[in-house]
Amino acid sequence: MFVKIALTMIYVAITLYLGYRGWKETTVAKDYLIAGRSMGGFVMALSYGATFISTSAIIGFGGAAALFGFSLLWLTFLNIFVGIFLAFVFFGSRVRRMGLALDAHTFPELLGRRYQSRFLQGFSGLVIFFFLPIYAGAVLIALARLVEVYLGINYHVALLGCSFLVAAYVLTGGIKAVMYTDAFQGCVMFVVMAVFLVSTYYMCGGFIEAHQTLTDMVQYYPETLKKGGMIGWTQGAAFGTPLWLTIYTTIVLGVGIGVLAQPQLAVRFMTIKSEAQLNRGVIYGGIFILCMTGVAFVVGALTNVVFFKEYGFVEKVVDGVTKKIPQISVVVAGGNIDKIIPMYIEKMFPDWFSTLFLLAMFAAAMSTLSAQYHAGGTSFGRDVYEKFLRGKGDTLLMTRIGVAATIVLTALWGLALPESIVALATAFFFGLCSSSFLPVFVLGIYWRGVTWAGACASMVSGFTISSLYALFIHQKEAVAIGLCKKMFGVDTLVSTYAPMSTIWKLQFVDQNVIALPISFLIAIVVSLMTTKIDERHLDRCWKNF
Amino acid sequence: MWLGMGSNEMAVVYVLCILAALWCTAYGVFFWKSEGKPINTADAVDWDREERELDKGR
Repeated sequence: MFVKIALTMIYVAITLYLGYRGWKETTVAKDYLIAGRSMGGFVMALSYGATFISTSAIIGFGGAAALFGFSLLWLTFLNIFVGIFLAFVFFGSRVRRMGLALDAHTFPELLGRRYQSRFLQGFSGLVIFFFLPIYAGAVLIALARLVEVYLGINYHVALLGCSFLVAAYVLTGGIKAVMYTDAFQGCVMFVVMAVFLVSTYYMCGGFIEAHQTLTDMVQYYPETLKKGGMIGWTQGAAFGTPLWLTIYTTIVLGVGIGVLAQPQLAVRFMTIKSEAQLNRGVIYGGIFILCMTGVAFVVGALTNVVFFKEYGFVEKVVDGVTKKIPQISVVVAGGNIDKIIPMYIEKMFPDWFSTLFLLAMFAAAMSTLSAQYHAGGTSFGRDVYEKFLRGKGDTLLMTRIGVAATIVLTALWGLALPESIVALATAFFFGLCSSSFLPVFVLGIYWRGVTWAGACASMVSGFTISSLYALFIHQKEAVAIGLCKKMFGVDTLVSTYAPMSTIWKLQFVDQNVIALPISFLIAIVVSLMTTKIDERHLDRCWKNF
Repeated sequence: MWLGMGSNEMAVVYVLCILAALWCTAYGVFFWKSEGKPINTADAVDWDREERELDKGR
């Protein structure tokens, strides 16, 4: 226990010191909002990666990989290729350059100035301010549960304590404090995950041996998953089946593409000091993400091998018949996939590594949470109050009040939301951001022809379709929220159709697959039919390209 | 099947993840010092003032 508390104190002390450094270097609103556009590639890339990867990406999705196997690696590939390479090279550079040309300090402000629209800045600011705290609340729940288990502190005390700790440096030091602490937290995560991967392959008897053993274990693959369309951990899913749709649309497309329009990530591109630093960031970002989700998914799948090697079969009497139950991960965890990675750590690793792993999970949650507080706060203070409502007051003060409001809202969501909501809230927010912001964002930095009307129509329709789809059609959200059941007496509006029909399968298709193409199409069609933006303004937007 | 996987798809995606990270590394090294087009600092606009004027115009 002494080692545990000592390591935690060292971790908190370093975090608070870096927060203090951020505060010392923050004197004007530009420092607080976009770090004075002075960040280097290493800090920016690690901050981007650590913000991107929360506890649910490692524990939640790692547990999911214990069920779905290596097919989740498609998400890792998209995370690296789309979330890092395309995002940095094709979006990051243009966001930085247009941000400089328009003197934009937030993601909504970039959109607002690009389209000369207070409405777009206000609407996107409101969406971020009201919906980001739900996602942040889910991250806070995961963090508080970790502290409760790890240090034996009461859950509610842990929840409020974590809120205050992160609030202390976000409120005072702004994005500089957030990014400095993110970079440190990213380093902790990187080292721990690297050790995690090597240890697991060692326990499995080697690289090829590990995969081959998992391949040979296909006979023990859960029957319920086989009925849904899965074949095995190293065999993937049968094309077009409900589980294939779940994996490839919700998990891979929803999260893999959704990252591009995350306001708390996009703002990172405005903080970088030069193009060369951004290019260097691609190196650190690519390796970091491979070491995060790549390791979590590979280790998650291989926990089946380690558990089976350790425990083999357990005899159980089922309906009067003695059966040999293979001890694969989901069985060992009692059916709760969120417990697979924690149980694997607890049962297979020494105490010192358990402590380090939990610190890495603190780091993952805190780095994501701090960015959410900052993005929510700047949206309220700068975009909604100062720009949309034309409120008076000092920008720095108003933004800090916005951050405080976001922290309170997040804590309230943290207290109100059920614990099972973590992965769901993450996917919901990613989907909402994609369909609301992505078309307006992409077309805004690449197409001079997109108009104010096209952008407004796209953002509002994307937001509306995505929300309605999640409430009434997509099974995961619709069942959890329960509004469809209350209004129409059915889980989803398509679940009454003939099983395996195309319409019935829509309940397994992520809202992004439907809402995103529609909002893109609306932006293009409306733009072709409405008045163009003044060429003089477009020249100024494009002057750094 | 290769890499001990049960399907070619899983072996391909495993290798693709590593290649994607290597691709990012190669890109970063190749463009380590590249600054692209210089930033145009001329014709700076007072955007706050411009926004207020736009509001009045509407």
